Amino acid sequence: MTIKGKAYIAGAFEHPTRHAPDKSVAQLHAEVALGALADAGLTRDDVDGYFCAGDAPGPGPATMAEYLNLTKLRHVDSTELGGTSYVALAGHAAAAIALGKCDVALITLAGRPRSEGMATGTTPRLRDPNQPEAGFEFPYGLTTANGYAMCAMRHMHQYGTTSEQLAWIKVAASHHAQHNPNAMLPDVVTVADVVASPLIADPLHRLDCCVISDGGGALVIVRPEIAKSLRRPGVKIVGAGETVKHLAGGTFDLTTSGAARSGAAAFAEAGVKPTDIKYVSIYDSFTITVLIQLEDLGFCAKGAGGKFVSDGNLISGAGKLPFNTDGGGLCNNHPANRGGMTKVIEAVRQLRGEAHPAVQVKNCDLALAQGTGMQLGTRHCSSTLIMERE
Amino acid sequence: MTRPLVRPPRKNPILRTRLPTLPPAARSRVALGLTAAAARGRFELQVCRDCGTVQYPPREACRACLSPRLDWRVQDGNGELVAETTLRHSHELFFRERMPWRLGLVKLDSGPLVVAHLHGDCAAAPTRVRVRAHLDRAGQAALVALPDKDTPHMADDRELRELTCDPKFRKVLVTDAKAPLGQALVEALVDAGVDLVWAGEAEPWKKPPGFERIKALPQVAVVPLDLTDSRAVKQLAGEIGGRVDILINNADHHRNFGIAARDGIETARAEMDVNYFGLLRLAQEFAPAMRARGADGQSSAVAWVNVLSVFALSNFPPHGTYSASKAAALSLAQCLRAELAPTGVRIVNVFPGPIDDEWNQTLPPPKIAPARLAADIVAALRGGAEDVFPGNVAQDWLERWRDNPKALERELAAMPQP
Ligand SMILES: [Zn+2]
Repeated sequence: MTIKGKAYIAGAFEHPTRHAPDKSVAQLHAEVALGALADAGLTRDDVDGYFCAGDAPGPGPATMAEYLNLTKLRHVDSTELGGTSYVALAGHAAAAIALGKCDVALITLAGRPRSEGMATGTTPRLRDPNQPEAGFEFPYGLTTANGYAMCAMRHMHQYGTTSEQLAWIKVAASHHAQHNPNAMLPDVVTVADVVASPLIADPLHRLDCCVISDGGGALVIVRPEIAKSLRRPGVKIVGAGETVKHLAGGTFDLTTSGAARSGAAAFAEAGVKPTDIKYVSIYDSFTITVLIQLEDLGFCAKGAGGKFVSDGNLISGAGKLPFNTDGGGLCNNHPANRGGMTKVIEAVRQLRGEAHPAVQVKNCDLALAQGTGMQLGTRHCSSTLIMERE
Repeated sequence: MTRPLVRPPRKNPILRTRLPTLPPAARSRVALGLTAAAARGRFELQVCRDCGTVQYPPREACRACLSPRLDWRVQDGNGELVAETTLRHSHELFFRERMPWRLGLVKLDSGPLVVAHLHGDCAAAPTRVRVRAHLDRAGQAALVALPDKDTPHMADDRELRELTCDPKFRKVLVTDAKAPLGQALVEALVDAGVDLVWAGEAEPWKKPPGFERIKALPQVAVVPLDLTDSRAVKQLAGEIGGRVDILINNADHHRNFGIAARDGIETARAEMDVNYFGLLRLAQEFAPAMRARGADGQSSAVAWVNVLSVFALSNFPPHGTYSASKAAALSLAQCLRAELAPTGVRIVNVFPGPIDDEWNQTLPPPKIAPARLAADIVAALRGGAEDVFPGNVAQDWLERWRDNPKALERELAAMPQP
């Protein structure tokens, strides 16, 4: 049993806003739903599967299903994996379609942390009081940024990775963002700019961190027969993997992410290897997130990430592995503090040949989207999705 | 290396005093086991009785075998600092006011990987460290990684000082400083580098040996303070209340006997008047100013020490009414602790066994010497504990009381009357 070839991404939409003080979160969900359905050439009445995650207002999928007035649902899924949820939900949608549980799956994401004044990274979020580890991490000032920072510190210690090497990841993203009219940070930056920006949590600088933006995105995933009836270029889902990595009582390696396991599963299902991939969307909450995931996915050896990302190797047209050609979370958009959705959307653009001409990868027939949700340094979720142009 | 503290400049009285902020305080019930140990100055973790796994964070079931049979065991805290970082931006007010803040991940030799505050003298990761559990300003256990070996001026570390109540450069009020323990406390505090000790004097006509020498120390100012006189307490609070950083209530009225050997209630009333109402009067007059000064710079109001008695845990019939007055004081101290909790001012309750003084002459040894008790109190302030059981007798009673309070009650009842 596999999802390979059983489902197609027929619609993808990224909300153009980066600041939406005048809109509600539910309204943004509705706008991206309509955008993705219009992109696919479908309507709400065609939707019989709805997928959302922790950003959706209300408990689980019911509130948004009502707001969107989805009346034909026969399958729902609100798996919450943090920022990578939407990479995983695309795989879940493909699995549901393969099992005949639904024909047209809609996945939505939206949020407005920028309008709500919610800084991420440096703020401990309100946590479930029943979360057993809550009282043992936040009282130390552990937030998102310094948790990832300690992974970077450890990577530097074990492998000699440098701040300048990490900075190259931001530099590559900024080279892409300059062509994206919606990008929050469209200016090209240099390695010197990154390492000269203020430290947020050693060794991560401000420019090592992603943006905080309002907005959202949506995907429409359908059965092959329906995909072929639509006029859009076919983007086939060929492999998916997901996992959770946690402290395991202290037997934990700070420099390896769940991507090692979710990536291997996705490659196995797709029957491809890293050298076959033409374009990657890699979750970029921080520069170190990208570096560790690239290693774990097998694009380079463990520990060789610093060298691998240097000298523009991630820049489309210049390097060997073009990544995040929309500018990614580092420069373009990180709606709802969750970057998984935009990772899949840019991969779809690349496979369709609809990326900006300046960053479009030639003969882009196989792409990978990889996400890490929650806290890399303690416990996180990882999901990988491999997509192929029909 | 930690830079030694310097005496803070005189405070500008016009500047507004910062409101105290606290680190996040929410803990699960089982997690309070860590706090209970830290309150006595210990670092304990749960160890599984079935498979021997040491675990952190504390939880209801063993992380390895899910057994609920978990025992709290003292840890040596030795481990390796795996990674560190320095927080430079936070919207958590407590940290925001204390940036930059160093923290790290420590792999304990016993297994767990823990997040901990990081002493400034710890070398860059990876390096050997010692993890200790201290109470933080919110009164909850917090782990702090110290360098492998002691360093000069280690106690002056900014992050460590947030977890302790070090008397260095602070101003301290000691009630009944003429008593043997009071004198020993004043001397120990002067040795610990206090800025000033107000030595409370209840009975000016008394001339106990040694007091003249203490009075002559440059850091000591004798002040009139009779805890049975509400007006006197109020008046002194009006004069010095806004400057007291640490208050040590050592006043004690102690007479022998229980109920049968007494006629009337006058002795018991006198004990209550000092031991219970004395604390209440002090708390009403001095706590408000201390409450406002919980975050008043380097030498903030930081601790309130009650010298109680281990007799407060369970009545010692040969000193029956005295035990009752100390039990009342313990209960009131818990109330004071709750009321001062939002301010970060720590209530330190000291439960000595019999002190080697005139009212315990008829008790056989072991008895704790006043100088030893004073040293233990200063050590508790430096170590950040809130419940202190100095001496062998107190430790023995505590263990018996924790094991089985009813058994201790029966054992004490069986002791002969003097
Ligand atoms: Zn076990």
